Amino acid sequence: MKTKPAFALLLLAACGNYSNEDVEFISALPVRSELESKLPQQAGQPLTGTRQDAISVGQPSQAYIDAKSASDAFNGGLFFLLDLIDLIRQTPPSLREPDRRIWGPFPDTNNPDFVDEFVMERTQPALFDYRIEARRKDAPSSAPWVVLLTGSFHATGGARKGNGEVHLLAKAARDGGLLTPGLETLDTLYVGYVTDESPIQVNMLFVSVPNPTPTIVGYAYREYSDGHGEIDFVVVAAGGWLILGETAKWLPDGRGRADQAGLAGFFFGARGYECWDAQYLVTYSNKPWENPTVVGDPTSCPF
Amino acid sequence: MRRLLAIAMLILGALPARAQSMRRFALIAGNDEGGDGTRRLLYARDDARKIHEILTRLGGIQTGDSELVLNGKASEVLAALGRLEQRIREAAEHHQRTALVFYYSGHSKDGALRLGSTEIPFESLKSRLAQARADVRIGIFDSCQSGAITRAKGARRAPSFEVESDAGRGAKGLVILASSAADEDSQESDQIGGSYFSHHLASGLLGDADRSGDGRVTLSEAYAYAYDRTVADTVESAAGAQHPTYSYDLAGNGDIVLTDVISRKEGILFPAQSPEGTYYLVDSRGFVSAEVIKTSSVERRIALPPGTYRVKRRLSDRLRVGEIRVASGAVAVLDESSLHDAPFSADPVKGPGRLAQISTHFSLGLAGYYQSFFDGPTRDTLFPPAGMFGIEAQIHNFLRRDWIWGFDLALGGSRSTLNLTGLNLPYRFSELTVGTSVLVEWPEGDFVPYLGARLAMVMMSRQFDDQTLPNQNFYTFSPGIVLGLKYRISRNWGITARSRVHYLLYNIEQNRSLGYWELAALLTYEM
Repeated sequence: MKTKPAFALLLLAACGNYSNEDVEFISALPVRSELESKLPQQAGQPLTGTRQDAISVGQPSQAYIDAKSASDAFNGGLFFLLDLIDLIRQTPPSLREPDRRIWGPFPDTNNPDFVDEFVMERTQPALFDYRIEARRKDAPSSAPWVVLLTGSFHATGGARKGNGEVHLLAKAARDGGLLTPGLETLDTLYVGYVTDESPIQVNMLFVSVPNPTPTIVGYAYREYSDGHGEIDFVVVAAGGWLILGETAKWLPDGRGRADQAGLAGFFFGARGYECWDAQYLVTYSNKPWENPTVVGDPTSCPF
Repeated sequence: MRRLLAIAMLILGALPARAQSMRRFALIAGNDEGGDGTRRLLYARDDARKIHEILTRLGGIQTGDSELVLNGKASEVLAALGRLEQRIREAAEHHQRTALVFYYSGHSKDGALRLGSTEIPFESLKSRLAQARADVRIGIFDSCQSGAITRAKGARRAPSFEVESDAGRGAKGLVILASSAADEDSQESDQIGGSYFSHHLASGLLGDADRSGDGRVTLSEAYAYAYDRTVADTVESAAGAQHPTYSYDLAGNGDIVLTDVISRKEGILFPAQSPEGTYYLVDSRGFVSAEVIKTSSVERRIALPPGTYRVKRRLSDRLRVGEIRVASGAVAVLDESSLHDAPFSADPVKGPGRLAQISTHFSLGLAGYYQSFFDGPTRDTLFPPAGMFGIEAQIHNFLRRDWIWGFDLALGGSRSTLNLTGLNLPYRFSELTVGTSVLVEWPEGDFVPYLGARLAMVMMSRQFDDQTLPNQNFYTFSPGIVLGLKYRISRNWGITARSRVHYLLYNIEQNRSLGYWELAALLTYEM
């Protein structure tokens, strides 16, 4: 019996976050470096469009500039989501249970009357679900939480390889009484990813609130084991006279090619493509809506 | 005195064979503690150790026939005496002649030996010795007012005792030597590192009391020597002169050879031509191993064990000092020309010697060690084996004598890989420990074993190469036990091999009781 106080003292004195289980939980969260678009960019000043009226070899590639804009928007959405998740990486869980971890509650920086918590559960040996939820500070313990973000990960190729998805529920947050600064027009942001095979795939959809109907903007990013990447997106020309669906591909050295197809307008159904070199300058263009229609040497295209 | 020596020499002519045929037993007890109303002694246990070492090395007492009780209670001493009495009875049944030596160094007061909070009345102990089956029983008491035990028939306060000569039968009876009279205190000295009486008794037994020059020290020689030297050394002390006493009731061929200093052929020989004077033989730690009264034209042999000794001879205006090495199984001859003049300030007996050993002092150490958990899965997935480097500080004899209170700080780590399902995560493991320990050491000689307990604050962390994973850490208190053996390289320096076994409660995922061990090598400097 006398050993009990000593044992309790040791128990009280022991603390930390040294846990293999924690590593498994955290490894199930998406990692920025694995999912971000790695479209090469020129060091220093970003390439800007100085397109002349007539396309010519050696001028900055508009197709690359469009791809870069799409890549930046893709990464912006992805990083916004992952920033929310990454907050808990450096913080020990507040509660550890065999298949459950809870971080928080923490004060909500945008909503002083609310607290947030991050809940992560292992529902099957390799299946993790997680969510960020908020509740008023003074709410009774039985009050429901407002879910701001949900995610899941199915580890099929080890603790970090598999497929997962993350949903940012901006409209649901507002419906629950929270402010979502900067996201007022966003209904939901969906990100789905597959990391256990080549190519790594990341799909992203921004769904806006209806005005009067919802607008959906999507990106599909693929990264191959040999280092080359692709991104699918939609380009709307100034004034809306041309809407193109574009698939940009690139090599790690920066050379690339964009395949474009008219999705609406006068050139609906038309197809063309443009290639650029490691300095992101046009080497070849074959597009019916450009003048001239064809410039450069098609053998300069890396794909 | 000459008459006494002549008688003793006559008797001793017949002793060698008799000494060899007599089986000897010894109970040696030393206790620094005397209970209420007494001050803790500094050297009682050391006196006991020294006498035990001499009697077992030179006194013909087999290790199995001796008992050494240090800081033991009365019950432990009496139990040890009972065990020896049983062995003596068994020897007697085999018609062996036997002798029993009972030596005690410690407190005595109000007619009783004081062993910590317990006591043994003089009369009951004397009665028990008187009734023992041994043919010869020798009681030696080095304690305050120990002369009270000799207050009986035959008790005398005298420089030597007469030995009856009766060659017709072997010696039988009881002899009791006491370090002081019944109204005197027995004194200790920091300079000699022991009590006066036991120190001189030991020097005498090592050979300096061998007035007959036959290489054997008898009971009467040892007593006479210890008496003279004790009185001489204490006559000017603040406590006043201390007079050893004896009670002699030995019939038959009445003297007993206590030590044989010649047959081992090991020690230091002072040639006849060596200058006369008092020589001090000081061991590597500054302990006075023996004091030798060298007279002119007389050879003197001191049976010291192998080791290196510093030799000091005090003159009126300076010291003569030198060094001599005793090899195993060899007699080293002291060569006066190997000594050199030295000022009194270079006295090897002073300084960080014996006094430093028993006084409060500090030591510092550098340690390198290896740590590993007992449990394999724990080693593989949580806390990998690690090399550590540390610094340590200790305070000796602060809590009590031969106790060490230590503080240590160590830092170390290793590289390892965490293997989870389909995931290999290399990481750097780091550990910082801060500990305090309480140790008990047994400074018997150059090898000093110690044992104790330790409480450590353990801080462990790991940093994954994968930057997306957080650094992990764990802090806890960890109790453990410590076992070590120090070897004194010199007076100040020592090297130590040490092991620790610790308990650690890991409670992050679930409560798990874990254990780990450490093996360390230390270099220490004692101030």
